[in-house]
Amino acid sequence: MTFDPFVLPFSIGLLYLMVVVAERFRHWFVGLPPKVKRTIGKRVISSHTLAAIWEIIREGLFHRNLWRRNPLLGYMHMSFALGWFLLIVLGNIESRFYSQLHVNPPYYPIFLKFFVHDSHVLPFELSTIPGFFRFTMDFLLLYVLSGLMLAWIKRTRSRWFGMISTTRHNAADRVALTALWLIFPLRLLAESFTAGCFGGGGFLTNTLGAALASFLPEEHLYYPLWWAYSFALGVFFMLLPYSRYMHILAEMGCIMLKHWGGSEVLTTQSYYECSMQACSRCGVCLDQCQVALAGNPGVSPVSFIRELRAGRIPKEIAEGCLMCRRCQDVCPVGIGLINLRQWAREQLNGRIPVVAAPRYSPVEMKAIPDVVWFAGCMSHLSPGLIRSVQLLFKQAGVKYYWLDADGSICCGRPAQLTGRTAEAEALIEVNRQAILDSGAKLLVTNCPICYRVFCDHYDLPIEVMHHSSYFLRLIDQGQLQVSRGLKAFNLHIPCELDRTSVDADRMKLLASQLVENSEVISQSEWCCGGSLGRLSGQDEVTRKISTDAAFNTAQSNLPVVTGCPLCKKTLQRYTKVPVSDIAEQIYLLSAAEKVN
Amino acid sequence: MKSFGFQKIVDRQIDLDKADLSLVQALARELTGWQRCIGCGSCSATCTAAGMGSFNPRKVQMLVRMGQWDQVAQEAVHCQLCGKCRLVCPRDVDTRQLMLEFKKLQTISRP
Repeated sequence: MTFDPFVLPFSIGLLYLMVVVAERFRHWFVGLPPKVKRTIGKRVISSHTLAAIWEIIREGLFHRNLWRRNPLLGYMHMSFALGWFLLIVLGNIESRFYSQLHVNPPYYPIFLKFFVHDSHVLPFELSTIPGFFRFTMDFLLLYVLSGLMLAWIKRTRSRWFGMISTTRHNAADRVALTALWLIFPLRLLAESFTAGCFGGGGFLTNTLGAALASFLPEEHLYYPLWWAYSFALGVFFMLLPYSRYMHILAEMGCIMLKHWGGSEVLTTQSYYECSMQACSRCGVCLDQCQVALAGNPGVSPVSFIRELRAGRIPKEIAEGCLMCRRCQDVCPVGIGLINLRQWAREQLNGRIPVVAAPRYSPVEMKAIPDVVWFAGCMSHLSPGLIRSVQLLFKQAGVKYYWLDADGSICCGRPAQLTGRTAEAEALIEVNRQAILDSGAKLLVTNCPICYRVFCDHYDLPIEVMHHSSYFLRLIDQGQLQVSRGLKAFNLHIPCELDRTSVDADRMKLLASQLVENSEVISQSEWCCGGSLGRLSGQDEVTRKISTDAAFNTAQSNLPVVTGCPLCKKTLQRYTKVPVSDIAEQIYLLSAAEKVN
Repeated sequence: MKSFGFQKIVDRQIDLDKADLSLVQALARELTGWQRCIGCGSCSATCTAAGMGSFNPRKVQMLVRMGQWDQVAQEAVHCQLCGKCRLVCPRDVDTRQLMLEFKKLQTISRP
């Protein structure tokens, strides 16, 4: 009978882990809305499953996103994930050669070297199947240990891994981390000492065992080491659901939910809970978070998620964020950090039933216009922008209807960012009706904040465009003639336009059409700091964020061109170089073209 | 009487001895920028909601200072949180944050 009492800590830990994790996944699944459950039911047997498995292999094992960020960081994470995964899979296959049973107890492959001492196999023999496995298993162990060494170095030399700052851990994380870091060295020692006593082992364990046997009493030490190895595994498994290592399992759950549930699942309570567990606390977001860089690292997503996991939603952390999306753009796990923050704000500020009915008096129209134009609140504070857009419409011969000519109600996005969804909905409904009443087939807005909510929450049957995309279209269609008269400048991409979207690409393309040589444009993706997403926080931090942003945007003292009236106003305060909207520049260039 | 351009003015006296200002003090401790407010009215001049009705952010914060909770509750709901007031504030007060906190006063038990 292949049993020894030392397998108990491992077996108990594994059993506990399986029960707890199964209960969590069940809880998440039960909590899904019925509609999403039906979608999942339809998609289980489809190509979505294959896509999900591919993503799990790509991100969960190979960590492609981390490789792209920094090869050393990618190697470190991959060595743990892929190395350990292959150790488990190959260990299972290897144990089949030595076992006559159809089903092995789970501990058997893990502690195979204790139960089986196959000294017939030579350490470097690769031609036979057991020899091949023996070699590969030792090689994989070495591979994991190399990653472990890098993880150890990373605690003090995070800059080598492309990170300025690294994360701090809580008690459960620390104990689990210690257990994890002990598992592989203990395995190496236990296998080496056993090989030293009884023979067997691969190129690593055999050699090390023989070398250590010359001065260590291995026959007394090998058995306590197997106990220690099993104990480390047991502790790690017990703590896994309560530490950051839950991400190993939750990330798979997240990817599956994302592929099966579609876009609807992304705003469900279950997905939020699953995705906050999927954070591996790698700390990549820390260097992107402008609030953290300005001296308040507590607001960064990784700290925010730590609080959420502990069941807390601290006001200053939930509300201090700029909602600039820079963290979401780099998160290797692809967690919807903005949605998560939004959800936290709804918990804090959204539970208020009183909703003011907005009042609105749309202007009478003579004919159905081509374009309905919504300038937005912030544009009204930038008369130069309004004037430029009006004149450009006139030049291009566009029949437009200015929806908020006499001022208007807000688009709803700012209220949404505070978590007051019900209030936002009331504003959205009134605006939506006014937009539909205009009869136009295209909505153009100057403000990326309005643009975001028009796209994501208005559910409009007509096309929505930011003015940069619209003017690009007018230029392409020949309705606007623009000379390439701009000198070198800094192009600032507003956060709410979404840096990764096609809108941002169009804005870059438009900018490149305004200069003779597109290489003279340097791009800035810093949030101006005036973001309506930051609801509270220290004034000095806010000022530091804007100062940093202005410094990094206005490089080489060249003028700044942006696409957002709020960014324009905020950056103007913090830099001496001229800041203008892209529409104002187009107007100046088109007027020059006309004179020529 | 109205046709002559006269009308009765409603009595607007407030007895500050009777108003409970403990909540105001607690709010002022949290909203540090509020102390810088000089009541210039730039916020009211640019307010999006003011253009649509009688809402007046400067008046609301004065009402809070004077502990007039019932009126605050009626007024603060009209704010649309658009943030224009914050952008124009010459004293760099986060007026939008003030208004959000005033809105939330509706749900806590008022004196």
